[in-house]
Amino acid sequence: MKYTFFLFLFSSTFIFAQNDKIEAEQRIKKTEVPANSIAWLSASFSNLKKVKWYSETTSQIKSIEAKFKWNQINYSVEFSEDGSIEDVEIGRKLSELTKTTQESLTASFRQFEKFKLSKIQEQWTSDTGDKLSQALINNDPSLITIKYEVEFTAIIEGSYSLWEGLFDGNGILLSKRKVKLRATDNLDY
Amino acid sequence: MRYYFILLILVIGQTLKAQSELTFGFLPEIAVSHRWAEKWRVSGQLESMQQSFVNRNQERLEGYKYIRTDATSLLTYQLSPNWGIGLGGLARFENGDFVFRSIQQVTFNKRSSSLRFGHRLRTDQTFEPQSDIRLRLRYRFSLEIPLQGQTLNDGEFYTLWSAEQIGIYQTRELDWEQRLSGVLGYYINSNHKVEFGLDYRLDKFLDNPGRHRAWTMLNYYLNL
Repeated sequence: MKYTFFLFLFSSTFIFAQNDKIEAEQRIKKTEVPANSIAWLSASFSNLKKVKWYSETTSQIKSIEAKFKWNQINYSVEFSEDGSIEDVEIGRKLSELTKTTQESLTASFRQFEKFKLSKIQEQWTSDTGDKLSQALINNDPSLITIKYEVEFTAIIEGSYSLWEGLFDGNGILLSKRKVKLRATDNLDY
Repeated sequence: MRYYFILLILVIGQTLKAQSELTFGFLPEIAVSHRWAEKWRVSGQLESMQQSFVNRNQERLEGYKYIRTDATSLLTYQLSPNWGIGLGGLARFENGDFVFRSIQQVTFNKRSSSLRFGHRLRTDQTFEPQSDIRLRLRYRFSLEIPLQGQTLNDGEFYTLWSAEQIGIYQTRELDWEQRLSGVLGYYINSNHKVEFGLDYRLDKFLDNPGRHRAWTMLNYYLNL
């Protein structure tokens, strides 16, 4: 009888697993990365070492991500499945941004109740991969569009949660989404 | 990852070899929790402690023995995305006696780009027949590391390491217990995960040679 209960418990596990939406990121080998992604990265970042490659699937859309440290700064570079460059994200502290951007973002953050900054990533995008590459090589942001992906805790629409917001350089909130946190039962009990 | 486990087994093995008394056994647990109204969560855990053997100076003192079953229930409230508080109770059946423990806790969990850290401060009061109340103050630090990529996703393995210090006060006497545990976990999905590992406990070492206990853990978490 008790075996029937466990059998039911574990069968339900796999039924749930099959019904869940797949949203996953997995480490992959460099050999699995499209050659054009590797070439773009080598051309844009000189003497690059220790690049970690990931395959990401979000809402059934696949992409490839390279994560690395370059000149003591954390970079995350996203490519489409065919290897074309999509964007470059640079880990920043608020104090490292220009004074104007700092002021714009800080003013925007005031709209949120109980706001606490967790992480800022400067997002560089361009209409062409060449322009983005040139902007990185020459450290010239005038060629590209810069936005800020900000992770923060705040009360929005009555929910005190962890949020991810995309802001433009003027501090205008372009989009936001609630970050789904995994249950902490194995840390709490 | 396997190197962590080998290291843990070696460290525990060496420690136990050098000591006079060792208990080894099994500590399986099922934890079921349910979240409602965004901030509230209720949980129930069932844990069974079974001794496999007790050795002193490599001599077998005791063999298999069922020790006890604990049923714990906690009601937790999420103060913020990181901070939580909880109240609960434990019911224990041991040697025909009923033991009750009241529990209060504060938790702080934080995640970095790939790791999760958990801090838990807990106080509890144990009421058992023919004994004075036992008061404990506990602090546990936990670290969860994904083993397949930067973040933990469905169908991936992780490892969880915990260290806990416990101060115990009963009948005007103080004791101190230390716990270390390491598990290999499999995150099936947001509803289910399983963990397998070792839990090492050292107590009664302030005035005595110390009691060393190592438990094989098999934990199953179900979120409804």
